[in-house]
Amino acid sequence: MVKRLLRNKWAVLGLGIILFMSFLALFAPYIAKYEPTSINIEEALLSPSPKHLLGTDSLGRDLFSRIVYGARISLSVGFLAVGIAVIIGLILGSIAGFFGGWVDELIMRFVDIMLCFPSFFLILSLVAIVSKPSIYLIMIIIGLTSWMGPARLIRAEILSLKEENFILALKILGIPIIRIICRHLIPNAISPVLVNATLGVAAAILVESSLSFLGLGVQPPTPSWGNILMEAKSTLGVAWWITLFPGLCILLTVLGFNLLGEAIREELK
Amino acid sequence: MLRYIVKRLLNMIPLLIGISLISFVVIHLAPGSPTSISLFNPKISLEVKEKLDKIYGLDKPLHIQYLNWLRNILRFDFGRSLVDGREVSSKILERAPITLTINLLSMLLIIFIALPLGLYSGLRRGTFFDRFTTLFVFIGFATPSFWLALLAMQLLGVKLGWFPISGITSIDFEYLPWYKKILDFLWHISLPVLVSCFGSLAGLSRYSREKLLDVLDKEYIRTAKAKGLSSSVIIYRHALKPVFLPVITILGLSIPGLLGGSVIFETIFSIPGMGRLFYEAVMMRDYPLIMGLLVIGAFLTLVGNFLADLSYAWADPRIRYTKSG
Repeated sequence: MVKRLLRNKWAVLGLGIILFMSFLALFAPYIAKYEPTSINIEEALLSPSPKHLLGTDSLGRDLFSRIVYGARISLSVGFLAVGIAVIIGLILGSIAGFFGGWVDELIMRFVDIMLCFPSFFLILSLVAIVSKPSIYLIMIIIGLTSWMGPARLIRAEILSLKEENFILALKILGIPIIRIICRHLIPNAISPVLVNATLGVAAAILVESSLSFLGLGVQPPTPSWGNILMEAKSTLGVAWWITLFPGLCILLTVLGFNLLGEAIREELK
Repeated sequence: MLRYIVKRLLNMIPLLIGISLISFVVIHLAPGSPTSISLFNPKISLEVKEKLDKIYGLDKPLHIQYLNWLRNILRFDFGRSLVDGREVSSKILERAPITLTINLLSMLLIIFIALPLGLYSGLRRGTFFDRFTTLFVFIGFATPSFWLALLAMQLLGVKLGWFPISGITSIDFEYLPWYKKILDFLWHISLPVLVSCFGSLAGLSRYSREKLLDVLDKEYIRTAKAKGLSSSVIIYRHALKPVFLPVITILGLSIPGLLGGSVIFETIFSIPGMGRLFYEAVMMRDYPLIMGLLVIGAFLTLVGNFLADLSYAWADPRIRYTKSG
């Protein structure tokens, strides 16, 4: 499948963007020329130049360095939040699918109820009850509010798999149920979740940046793409570069994950 | 049809109970009871706090508190705001119309732009136009709405001065004749409406394109072609209806996204709607207000799904016969 994906030019473009952003995030200290939080009032609001590639903000901080460090936040929130969501979804979905009956009914009703809430409302409410949102809490909150998709997918796959002969054979052999689920059912049911997770990273990055933009996510001075944009609001009309570049980074990263996710979906068909 | 409606309504009851239970649990996860906020005020003694607990029923066990709260919200009583002591329900009611108006307008815009766009690119599959819209769809999906709002504010608001960038009325609103009041209001909400429909444009146009391609592949379309019907008759009489139907559902399902988006737009454009109210409530940790908005947001979503299902069943008899039996 990987080979076929590499022949799809959209998948390659998406993967390229993701790798580029991951490269920035991993090697941020070597790529950024300045400390992302070092203030230099004398160089405030400079437009892009060779010295400051993407210009500086109202406190004279180098925008390029801040964006490079911001990539760390966005990508780690995206990956870990989806990791949490997929794990919860795997557990609940496979329990519901394998055991069926009232357990299934209960879990799936819970999924339905969770899906009734506008997810951004639910996320904001959870942010309101934690006293100070840290980057880890943001990951957990996004994970806790986005496991329903993976749970449904896993359940559907397991429902169709569990009547297959090889599973029946395993049951007759007396293999423990946990082992059947973890070793045989989940690996066979994982592909649709893969698509969902790839698209989920994109969604999580968007949510994190929206939260940080509202001042309810990653807190300054730690730079994230969202909170750089929050600060850009006060220099609207004066310094276009502070608004333009972080937004473009979000757009590109989300685009990358969406392209890759859609390409995998096409390949699985 | 009546049986279908009753059945769907009955299905909603456990969902509503679940919604109320989750909202209640979420807010009670909060550290400290609402009255412990008063402990920050050194003038309030422990005795007073106990008295307050008694007034608000916070001294009772949790399940009794939940049942009391449930009984109250059935009477549309969500308690009082911790910030200004006003009733939560009236605070929400005065903010809701603006949010609903903006969302309805952007939904209309979405339909009128996205459907033709998607259908046209589906019919012209593989052409430059089709590839261009597909690219636009991917970019639309990836654009953070708040960033787009900032760009629109900067360009159309500040630089060109075409649209106001905050509030919903001009300063001289009071003195305008009624028709100018309407125009003034529309002028103020045009940027938020434009920006908020942008994201969903991508979704719906992509969906209608795929759906049309799906339908055009069906056997009855091939039969119609074989019969020698002209392609315009095939498209208008046979292919479009099955494309329009699911669109209703998509619109119903887009309500939670639009409501969530309102928080962002109303905060950016300083629009006094439900979204901004939610933002303020979160900032002030105003738990009764948050709880009320959470329940109402979920309720609106449920109503949206219900209306979508209903219009779907009304338009497509197969649904009500197979599902209502």
